[in-house]
Amino acid sequence: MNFDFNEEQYMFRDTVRDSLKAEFPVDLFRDGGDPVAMEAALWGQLAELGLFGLMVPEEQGGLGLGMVDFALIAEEFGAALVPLSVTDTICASLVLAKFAASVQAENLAKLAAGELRVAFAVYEKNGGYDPADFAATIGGDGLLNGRKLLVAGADRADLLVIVARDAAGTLALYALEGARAGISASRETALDITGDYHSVSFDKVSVSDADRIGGAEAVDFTLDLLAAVAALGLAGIGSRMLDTAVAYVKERSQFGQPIGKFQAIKHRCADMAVDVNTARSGAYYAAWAIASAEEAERLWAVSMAKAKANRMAVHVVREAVQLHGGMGYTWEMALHFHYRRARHLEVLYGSTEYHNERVLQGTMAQLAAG
Amino acid sequence: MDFNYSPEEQTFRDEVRAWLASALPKGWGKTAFEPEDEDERAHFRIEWERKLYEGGWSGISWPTKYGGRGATLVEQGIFAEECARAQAPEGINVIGRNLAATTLMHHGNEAQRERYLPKILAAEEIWCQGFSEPNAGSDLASARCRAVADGDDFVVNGQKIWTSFAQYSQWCILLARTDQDVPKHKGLSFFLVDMKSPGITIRPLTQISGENEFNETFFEDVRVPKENLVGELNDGWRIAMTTLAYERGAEDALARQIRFKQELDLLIAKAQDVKLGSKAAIDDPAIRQRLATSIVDLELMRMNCLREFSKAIKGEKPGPESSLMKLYWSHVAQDMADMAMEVLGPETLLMQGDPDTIARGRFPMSFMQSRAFTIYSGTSEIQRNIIAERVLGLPK
Ligand SMILES: Cc1cc2nc3c(=O)[nH]c(=O)nc-3n(C[C@H](O)[C@H](O)[C@H](O)COP(=O)(O)OP(=O)(O)OC[C@H]3O[C@@H](n4cnc5c(N)ncnc54)[C@H](O)[C@@H]3O)c2cc1C
Repeated sequence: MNFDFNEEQYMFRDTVRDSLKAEFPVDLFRDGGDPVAMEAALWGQLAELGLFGLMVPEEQGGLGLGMVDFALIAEEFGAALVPLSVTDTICASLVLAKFAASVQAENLAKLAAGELRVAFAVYEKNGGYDPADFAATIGGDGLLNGRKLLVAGADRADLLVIVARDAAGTLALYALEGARAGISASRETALDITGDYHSVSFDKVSVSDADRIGGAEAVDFTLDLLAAVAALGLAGIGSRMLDTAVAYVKERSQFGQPIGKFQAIKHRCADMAVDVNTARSGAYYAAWAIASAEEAERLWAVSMAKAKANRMAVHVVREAVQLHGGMGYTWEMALHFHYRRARHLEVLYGSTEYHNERVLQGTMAQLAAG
Repeated sequence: MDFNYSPEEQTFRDEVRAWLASALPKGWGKTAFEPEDEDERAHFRIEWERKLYEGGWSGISWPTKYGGRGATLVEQGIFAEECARAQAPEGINVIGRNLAATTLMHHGNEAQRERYLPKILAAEEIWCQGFSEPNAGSDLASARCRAVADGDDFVVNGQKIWTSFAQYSQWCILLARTDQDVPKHKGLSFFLVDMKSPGITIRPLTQISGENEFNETFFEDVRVPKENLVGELNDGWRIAMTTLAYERGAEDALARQIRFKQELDLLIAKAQDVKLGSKAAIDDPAIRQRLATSIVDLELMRMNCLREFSKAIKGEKPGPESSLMKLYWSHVAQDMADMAMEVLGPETLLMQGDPDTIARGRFPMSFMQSRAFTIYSGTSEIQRNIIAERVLGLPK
């Protein structure tokens, strides 16, 4: 039993943090940077740091590390608002390596080199959060029909990883080249403007067995992975917003003193710190569970982490805006980029209520088993 | 990072479990319970602590030379979990083990450690904490109880209040003023006081729960030998900060977490039994959400503790960050106690002894008791001040 990261993991985190601070500051968004162009420039730097190969097996040129090694990086990605097209691609390396390592060997090698972009196509209009309710289906004729929402960077993804029902009615995970006939992406107008999101239509797309990554098990793992990484990203956002607010209230003076001297402000900062600390505990545990736990514990851990991260982020980001007063409401102050991303991550990978229900069911199963 | 237990840790767990099964009375938690009378219960708990000691289960992570087991904090955590699983009684010497002993380990001299630590473990000597005074609660540093040097002794005069378990205690950790002429934080000293000393009077105070755990304690010309001063004269505030860091820290919180989780498990079980009209409470989606929220809150309390344990094992000393633990757990535990009153229907209002009570009145009792969580060990407002000023660095 050891609930801590090791020295290398902390050092790698620091390297990534410094690099993002220097090369990917939030000012770029504020100054009207185009998120797609910004992402393109960032991509090469992250590839140089070896980030895309982090979880790719060594045989395919990666570092062969796991989710715990990625955890602190995912947190930094959240804090720095790294586009979700990047996290999707890194998450995909874990899914492809776990469920389809040999079929996807070539893709994994490219991904490790930063030469393959992957996007997850999961959620649907009227589909809610439970994959059992998703409509995308492959018919008996081997043709996939469906439409997915909020797919990050879909128009330039080399590979789309999609959740769909197979001809036998089983939920499954498929990897399809973005250029395959019948797939078309259309840019969405989304709350989060730190990345580009697309709806993707699959219109009689021909799918073969070779495209299949796995069945329901792969789908469940993938959704848990995405939720865990969202929880880590939210922890990063919360932590960055806390730091930003604390720095601001130390500096801003009213009534002849720094506003951070007013107890009403101190106490709000303290509550934010407690919340961020706890959300981290949950998100780290979920990262470990993705790497090492049996399915039941993994699901339970991830849902706890996401439920807490959701509640924390809503609270902490709201407070951060409030503590900045009128400045907080300005485009210029740039808090709203984190505010937008926080809501995006909160709503997309399972609402608090959805995850709460899974937690309760998990706990009741544990209690029934004694 | 690894949440799995090593084979040695597993073996340890199996040993604890087997011992508990043999040591607890037959039918424990089902047909056999703790005495209902508060005083009988206190003595029952002291007996239980002695039994633990005889079984070699006291002071799991303490050095062997003070009578401990020399094991790790992880094993200490496993032990606490197994006690909770078996619904073993709580101890009463928490102040001895978690506060007096930890403070002596850091600031006591060797003679003091050898004299006091083994008897704390053996529950031969129960301890209380004489910090708060009627006019020095949150502003603890303004304590007025005085200790004046006189020959080989100090002579103590003054009053303490809210002294938990004083009526069962042989010893007291006392914060007293030894210099009036310096700023308030600089004139306090930390003493070990024999509660049998002439001049000590204890007057019980009744709590909102109807219990009598805490007391007023009066000191009138009480002689305390000079060897019972801990650390340097007038260094008591710094030493008391160590005491408070442990009082608010992960070890204390983990033991509590396990009790809270037990209570929540019981609530989930009752929500399946109790009908709210045509359906069980557990079938109400709003109630499910509320139960789940508390599950998440309490499990993450455990995760917070485990993260702190790992830091402590790495050698980090407890500091103001422990306020993050305490502020968090006190509120989520209160939330749970409030929630428990709102999900089981009208019968929740019936206390122990009533034929229609649920779970022997545990939930209404916890609801009353939980008010104390955000007051003792420093109120929430004080924890927030500490976090803001000493963790986040906001201006004083
Ligand atoms: C069940 C129980 C057991 C206890 N056991 C012990 C024990 O064994 N030994 C012991 O020494 N003490 C014990 N205490 C005492 C406890 O530590 C004090 O009650 C606590 O520190 C608060 O002090 P007070 O009661 O004087 O309240 P006050 O300090 O008078 O506080 C009243 C209110 O004012 C607020 N307040 C005070 N100062 C500030 C500030 N600077 N900023 C904002 N708000 C402020 C407080 O948060 C609180 O809400 C116990 C208390 C309880 C309830």
